[in-house]
Amino acid sequence: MHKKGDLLIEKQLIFAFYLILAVVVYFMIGSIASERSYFEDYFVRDLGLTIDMLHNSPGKVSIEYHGLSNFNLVTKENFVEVRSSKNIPKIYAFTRDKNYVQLDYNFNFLNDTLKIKKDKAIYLEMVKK
Amino acid sequence: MNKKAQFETSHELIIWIPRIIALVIVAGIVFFLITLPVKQSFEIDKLQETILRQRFLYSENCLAHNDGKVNSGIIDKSKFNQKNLDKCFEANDKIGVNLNLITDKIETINLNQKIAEKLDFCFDKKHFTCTNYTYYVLIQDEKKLESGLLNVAMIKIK
Repeated sequence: MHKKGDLLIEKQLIFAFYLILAVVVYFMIGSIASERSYFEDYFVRDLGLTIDMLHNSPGKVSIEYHGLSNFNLVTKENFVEVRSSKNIPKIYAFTRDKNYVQLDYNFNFLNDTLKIKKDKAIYLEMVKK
Repeated sequence: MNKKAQFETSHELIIWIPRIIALVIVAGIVFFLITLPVKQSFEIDKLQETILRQRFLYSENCLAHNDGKVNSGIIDKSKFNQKNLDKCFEANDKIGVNLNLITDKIETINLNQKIAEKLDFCFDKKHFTCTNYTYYVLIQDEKKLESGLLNVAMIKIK
């Protein structure tokens, strides 16, 4: 009787452990699947590198990002920053060319388009859907 | 506690030890497999340096010669000065550049001197990302066109 009781407790403990593990895995996978953090990290670097590259371009360039939602984009002096309510802000520091006017923008994307243009200056524009 | 009970308790403990170890290993593997793709960071420092390096050659604000159109491979020697390069390349506090224009003599310009001085520490790959590239260029010096080399060494603090 004593042994049977021990076995039961042992099984319950293992079951509880696996249950906790399953819950942790579920939330971790859910967090990864949302890809928000990943997207923001990727986007800020992509945008920053694009701005760096536009400084090299000898001609006119226009680039559009579609379907941007649920984050705030700030460009100031020499950095691009993406902020959202869920994740820590992501920053990319680009290298400014002082011959161009300073990029000073603050956009709040809901489901919008970002246009980046380079002509005689580089400028950003948010187009509402 | 009698002797029999003591024996049973220690016996159970011995049985539990490998089980606990197995559970810890399983939990560790699961945690590792899940966090592995998340912790993979995008290493873009070298890419960024490649893009920035090309600015000196491609941008007319930096060194590219302009005779009505921008000639990307031709350097305007009058643009190779500290004032002009500081303006076209406002390096942030993490990037330093050492530029050498080599003809029959060598002219050197450092952008963001404090960081550029650290180029000797590029062996420390944990803290610095460095690139060093030499371009074959044509140099427009007033009306004379001569060949030369432009060496761009760049360092970025990680």
